[in-house]
Amino acid sequence: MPALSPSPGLSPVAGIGLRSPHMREVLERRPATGWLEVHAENFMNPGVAGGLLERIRTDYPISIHGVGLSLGSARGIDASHLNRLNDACQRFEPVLVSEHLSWSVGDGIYLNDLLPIPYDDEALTIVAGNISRTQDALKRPILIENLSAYVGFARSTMSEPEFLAELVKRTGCGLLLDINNVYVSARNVGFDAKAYVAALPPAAIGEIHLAGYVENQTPDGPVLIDNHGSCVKHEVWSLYASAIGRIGRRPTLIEWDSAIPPLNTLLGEAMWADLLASAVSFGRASCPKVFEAREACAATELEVIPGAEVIAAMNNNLREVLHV
Amino acid sequence: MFDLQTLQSSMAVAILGGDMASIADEFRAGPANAGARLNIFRNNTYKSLTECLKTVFPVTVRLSDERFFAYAAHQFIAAKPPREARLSHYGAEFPRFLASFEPCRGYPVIAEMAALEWAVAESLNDAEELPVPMSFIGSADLLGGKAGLRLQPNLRFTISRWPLAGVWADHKKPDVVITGTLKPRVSRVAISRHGEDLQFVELDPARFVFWRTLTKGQSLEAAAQRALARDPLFDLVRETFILFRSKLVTGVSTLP
Repeated sequence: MPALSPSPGLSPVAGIGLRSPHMREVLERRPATGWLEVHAENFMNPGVAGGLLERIRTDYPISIHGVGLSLGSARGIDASHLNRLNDACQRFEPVLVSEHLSWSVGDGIYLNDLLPIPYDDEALTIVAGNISRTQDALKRPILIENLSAYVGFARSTMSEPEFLAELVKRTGCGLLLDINNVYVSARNVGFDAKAYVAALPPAAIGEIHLAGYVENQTPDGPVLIDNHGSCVKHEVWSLYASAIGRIGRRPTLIEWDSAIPPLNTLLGEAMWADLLASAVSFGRASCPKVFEAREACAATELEVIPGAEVIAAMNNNLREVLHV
Repeated sequence: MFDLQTLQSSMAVAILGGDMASIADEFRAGPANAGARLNIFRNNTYKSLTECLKTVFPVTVRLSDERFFAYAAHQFIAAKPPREARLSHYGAEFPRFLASFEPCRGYPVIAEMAALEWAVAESLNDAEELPVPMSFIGSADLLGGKAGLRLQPNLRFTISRWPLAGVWADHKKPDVVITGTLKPRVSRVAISRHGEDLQFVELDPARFVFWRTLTKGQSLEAAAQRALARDPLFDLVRETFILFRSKLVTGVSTLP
């Protein structure tokens, strides 16, 4: 498998996760967003959804994000599902294809959750074999996304970044760095989030995900749940700024999968991601000018998408994240 | 220590069944209780699959009450978990499950609405083929005995003791309050998709059996015989013409 170009054919700008409630609105409005990401499993039928995506993809680069291939399954991946993923890639010609460092099929039952794997030699061999089989079938490299962790395995012999780096080395795959998942995992199982990012091979990171989490109080203390159901939190924006300061800008996705908000909210979050990335790329010295420009925009374009509230929130966040 | 395959089998059983203590020794969660943390996976699994069912069966949710639906969905997921990641195929057995689910036994309308909603979901997810033009009637030997008609692949049928299609159409939007009394009346409905639009057609018993027999790949002659058994005045020429006019015929074949 040839070495991966981090994100071939896609500019390092922000995009949004495209979910069914927004498909018709995207077709009608053609909003300004760098690219769109869809879940592969929602487009494996010949029905209405695929027809809509056919029309949408004429105007936007599409990324296909799988959630059901179960690359961590010790029994191997389902050939039928891999064929369907291949068909979706042939049909929609995505610029990126990604999946998770997880398993979800056990004894033929699909659990519809992204379940963790231990980080040891046995799992490494299994996952590397499954990734290679997938890349051979699709005839392209894929990106592998880190999960949110709630527990660790007693049998693990390496860290998650070490495991991911070894997968990159063995298979030529790339990485999808989910910044929210890094933050959630760091809080739940106790590690340094910035050190985690620093331990990944930067050239392999082809995409970044940002999303929201919720904090649940339990008798054992707080636990963060990666629910993709709210705005990106301040701490995650900070980690994002730190990460792109280290690795450079990457295509960045705003993911939102539950309690899906109006499309404008997603577009506002994506705009903020682009602004923050620009501010980091040009160095902190110019950040105040970014704020002034956004405030001027907020003052004069109150009715303009994504709306004054989003812009005001964005300005507040920008100040806090960059400490200006 | 288990190998990975055994560990994953044990985790799947624990997540579905709830016995997290059986696998807790495999995990670490710092100062937190690993078994309690593992329940997050169980909650995620049941919650996400319940949401999936709620999306496919929105009016069944409203007919049965959201909390009751969540309870029934939980029992269904435990008994019939999905077998593949393409969740648009998950729920086919849910109407039958509801029909035999003890708390629903006194309210068969719930299972019958679920059956209608599953037919809708299948119609939305299945392919649409180009219809054969009406002019084809004159050029094909349709009445030659072995002729068969291929109907739209997204054509689905439901039969209910109540006229549920109207209820579904009126109440699929969450802001419409379900009111009134539903009077029993046997209703046979064909559902098909044309572009993004769904079409509901109520059928009499003869036409219902005629269309259904054709979708099973049987000949026009066989379908007509079954329809005539329901209605001695069944007019095959007229009924064939109606199928073409409805843009439901996508091909003509000669059966062996």
